[in-house]
Amino acid sequence: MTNLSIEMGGAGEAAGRLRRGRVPFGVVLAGLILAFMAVCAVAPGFVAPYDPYAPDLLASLKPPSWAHIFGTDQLGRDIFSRVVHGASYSLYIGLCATALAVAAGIVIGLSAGVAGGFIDLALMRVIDVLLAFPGLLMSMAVVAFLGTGVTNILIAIAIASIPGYARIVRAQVMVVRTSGYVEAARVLGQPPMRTLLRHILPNTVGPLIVLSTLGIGSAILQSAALSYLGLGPKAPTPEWGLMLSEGQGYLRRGWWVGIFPGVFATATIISTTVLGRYIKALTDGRA
Amino acid sequence: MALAKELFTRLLAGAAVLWAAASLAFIVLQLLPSDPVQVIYGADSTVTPEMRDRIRADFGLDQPLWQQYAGFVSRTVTGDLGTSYQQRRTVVSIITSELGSTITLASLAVLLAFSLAVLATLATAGRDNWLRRVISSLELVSVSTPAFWIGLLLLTFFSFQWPIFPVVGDQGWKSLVLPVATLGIALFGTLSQVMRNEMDQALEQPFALTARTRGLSLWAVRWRHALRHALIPALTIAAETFGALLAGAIITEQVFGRPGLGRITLQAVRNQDIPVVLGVVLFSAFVFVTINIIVDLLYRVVDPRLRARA
Amino acid sequence: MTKTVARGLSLLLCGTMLAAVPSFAQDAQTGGTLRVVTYEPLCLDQNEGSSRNTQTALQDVYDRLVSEDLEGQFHPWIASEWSISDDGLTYAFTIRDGVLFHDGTALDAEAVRVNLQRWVDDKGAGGVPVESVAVDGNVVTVTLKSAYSPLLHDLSEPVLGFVSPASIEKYSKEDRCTGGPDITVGSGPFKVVARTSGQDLILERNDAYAWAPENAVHDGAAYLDRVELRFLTEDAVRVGAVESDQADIATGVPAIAVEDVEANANLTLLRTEQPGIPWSFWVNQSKPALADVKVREALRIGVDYPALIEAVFLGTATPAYSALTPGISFGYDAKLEGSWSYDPAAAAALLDEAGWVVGSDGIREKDGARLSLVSLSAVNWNNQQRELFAQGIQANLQQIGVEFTREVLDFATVDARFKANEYDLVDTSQSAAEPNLLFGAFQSEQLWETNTNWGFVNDPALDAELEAALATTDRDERIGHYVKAQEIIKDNAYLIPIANPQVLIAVNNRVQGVTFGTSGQVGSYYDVWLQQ
Repeated sequence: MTNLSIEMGGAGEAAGRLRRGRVPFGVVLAGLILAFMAVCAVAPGFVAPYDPYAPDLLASLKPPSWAHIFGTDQLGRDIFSRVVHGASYSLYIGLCATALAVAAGIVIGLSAGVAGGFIDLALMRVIDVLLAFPGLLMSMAVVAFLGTGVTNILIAIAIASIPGYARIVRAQVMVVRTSGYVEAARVLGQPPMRTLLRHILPNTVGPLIVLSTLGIGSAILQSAALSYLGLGPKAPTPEWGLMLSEGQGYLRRGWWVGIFPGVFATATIISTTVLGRYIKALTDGRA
Repeated sequence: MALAKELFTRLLAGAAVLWAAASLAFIVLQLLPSDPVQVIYGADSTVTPEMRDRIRADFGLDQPLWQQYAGFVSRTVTGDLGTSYQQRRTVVSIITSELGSTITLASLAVLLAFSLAVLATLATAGRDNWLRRVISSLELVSVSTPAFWIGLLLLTFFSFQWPIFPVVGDQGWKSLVLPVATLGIALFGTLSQVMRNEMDQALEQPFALTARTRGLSLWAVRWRHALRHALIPALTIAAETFGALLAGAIITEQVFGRPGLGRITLQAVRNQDIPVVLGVVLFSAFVFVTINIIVDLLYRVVDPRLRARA
Repeated sequence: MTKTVARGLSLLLCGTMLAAVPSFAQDAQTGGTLRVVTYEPLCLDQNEGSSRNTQTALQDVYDRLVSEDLEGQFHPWIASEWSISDDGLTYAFTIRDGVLFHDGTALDAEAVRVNLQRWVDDKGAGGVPVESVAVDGNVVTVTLKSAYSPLLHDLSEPVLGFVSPASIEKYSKEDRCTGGPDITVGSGPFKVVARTSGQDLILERNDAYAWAPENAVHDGAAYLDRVELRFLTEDAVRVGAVESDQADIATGVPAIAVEDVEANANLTLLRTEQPGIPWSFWVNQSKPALADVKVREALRIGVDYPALIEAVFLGTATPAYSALTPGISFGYDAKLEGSWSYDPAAAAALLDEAGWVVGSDGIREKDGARLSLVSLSAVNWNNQQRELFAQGIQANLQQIGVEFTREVLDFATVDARFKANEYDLVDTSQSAAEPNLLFGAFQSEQLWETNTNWGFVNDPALDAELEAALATTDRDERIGHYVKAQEIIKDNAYLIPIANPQVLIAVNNRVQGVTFGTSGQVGSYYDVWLQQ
């Protein structure tokens, strides 16, 4: 779903347990899962026992066993190996799309907040308009123009999440701008550009980074959804969303084909969310 | 009087947003690299230059840009969203013919999600026990799990493992159960989180204590007073819920092979049928703006404090 | 009074027939709606855009001159009789009286001429050497430039169904393609009453119908009240629809669902060998790499087709070695079976010989060019099995240093790519009962504009066989030419056959009389009835 739904709530829970002074088990688990996914993404060959692309026609559609812990698909490819290789796509899209969106959000939000006046008004109205569209629909509309593929869905997801970040940056800028020290810097005669870089930017970006850890989860969710809809990478790429949509044809004959990619995708998204909420609660607690 | 004035301002602002959305859509159309005639006819070699001109004239592509823009905006205002490249039908007729099925699905899903969220909120707000931890974990799973995976799981168990519900289709109540559950589960987490957070805060406020001292049970306080407070933020995210519904409908309709708005949107995106894509986008912007206006008005009904302030 | 007598008599006749033919368990019942889930036609005016999907959807809307049965015999339909001159150049068709289009206009000799002329003008008569089409009274005469033996077959194909000339005149090409009541006007046993693009096509019985082909099981109007064709692209969704009794017939049953359909007591799985050209790669010889027969041969032996067929098609296809399938009505050369087998080492050696050496990324290179092949397919040529199979091909070819990608695009885009010559391979199958399909796919002049020689095959010896087979009506002689043609195609690897597909249809047991058409599609719904 959208950023908001993931950001909403949960912070209170984490903060509550935080006061008791130890890292909750859930957060540790989430960290471990993400660490595992990161290893999968960076060195899949280290984790995966088989080539994710190589068919083994004698082992077609075998249920989970010791040889293939997640079973095999109709071409006899090892599902576990494919799922492990899939981590890189999701993490890559999740991280890059979020980074892109945050960067663009900072530029737009800063420009609006600092410039003020008409520019601010115009930019914010555009943001309002963009926020009017559900993220998935926005991404799909962008894909309709750019065409399908990994890079294009990455861009589409980034574009769809820019407005949220831009709005947060602008709100932060407004807060920082009216705070004492910016005023002081201005009185002291510092050039506006320097004030921007020295005072406004660092104070704005901090909270944004925290928020963006939550954004990664929803970016991964979006990328899986777009791939599931057939707008992402093409077969035989072991992308989770794509594998899920391929697995849909085997729900009766081989449930493992579609179920395990979903387990990995869900575990990754939940872990990012848990970790993101924890970090947010942590920083909120300090503030 | 104040109400009328505010309503007017809201309507004006809504219209401005829609106008901006339509302008944005028009710009996007202009930026399109390919010749629309090419999109319409593909590489059909039999399209003669005369035919090409006629098609361009049919779609108004031979007029100067400003005239096209004026035409586009005025048509949009009168509810004419253009003609599909692919289906040769008006976008409005495509949307209206598919809307019913999506509305049925979405409203049942909202009903399910809302009921679950109210139950979860009543059962857990203001407490810190195992039930709350279980429910908030469920909410976390609900907001983080891809809807299509939920759909596939439901299909695996309730259509294949135990053939209770049909695999696909759009006929009869039975074929609605799994799609509604899929979409409802996805919505539940968001709604429930928001409502409980609000309820937690409401229960800490003085009026809750006063009500308790008047002898009301904790359940009665939750039910009569705090829930009302929890409903306000639920209203706030109504527009977002609508967005989530539309996105969820695209996924759900694909998983269960149902007809509807989501299906035609996906089809249009795949075929690069731009008028339909923009039509759906503009339509959703319109609904979004309308919902926001209604929500603002509803606030006054639900929360007496706002009425007093106005 | 007379009426009662007549009815009594017909009941009596039925009684005798029942006694005489005990296999007829029941009389056909009239009425009911047949719900079919299938693929969507490209265009409802077949002259503008045609595919087997289109033809299958419209075969009951449009009537043809003659009707071909599964044994390859021709029967009168709109032509009550015909004669062929001794030199095989002149065909004279006598048009049946009293045939009406759904819009009430007459399907007379002039209407037939208009339709045939349109086929000649717009489509180059699909490669048939038509000299002229003329009308004299109720006789339509088709004169050919050179002998063309499969003419009757071509005229019996659904693509040559007659459209009301009034509708051709009144509506634009686009409107006729979209179609709808009053636009899609034929003379067949069913008429179009509703049409929603991307969704469905609703047909209703034409009560006036009294001109069924001679080889039909019954006369007069069709049994069914209505036929609803719903278009569902997902294989699993179509099967789900018949399983949950939301449809009576599902076409294109995927291999993975065969077992389930067969196990379902309410359903029957009908299957037949698809006649025509197997699912194959057309090899674009205008590309330097593929102009080399060694490379083409390497593609043939570098993939384990039989093992992939077993794993992917699960018994619904057989390995293919010829340019024709065993299901073709005549001319299949069974001697070619087993002509080659999987041998990755030999394939690699062939590529080495051809000068393609393995580069740093494992893909072969020659003169700075990578051995990277793109195969094109259209959405309507594709299915779940082929998609999966292609992934197996890709992995096998990777092993011998060939990069393979397959693009599945909508038909208009595929056509644009043909035009721009931006493809290395084309993968599809073609279905028709007539081995003359080979002419369109391999004769040197039948390039993409008019036909399907996507490989730019230009072989005088092959041309000679294909042309000679057209010049004679003697079946044995024709078989001889087609057998030679298949050998030439195999020897030169002009085509890389992948698999001989079967056509699979799931039918609810209450549906009676479902047959296959001559090209392996679902047959006409004219004789189909529902047990109530």
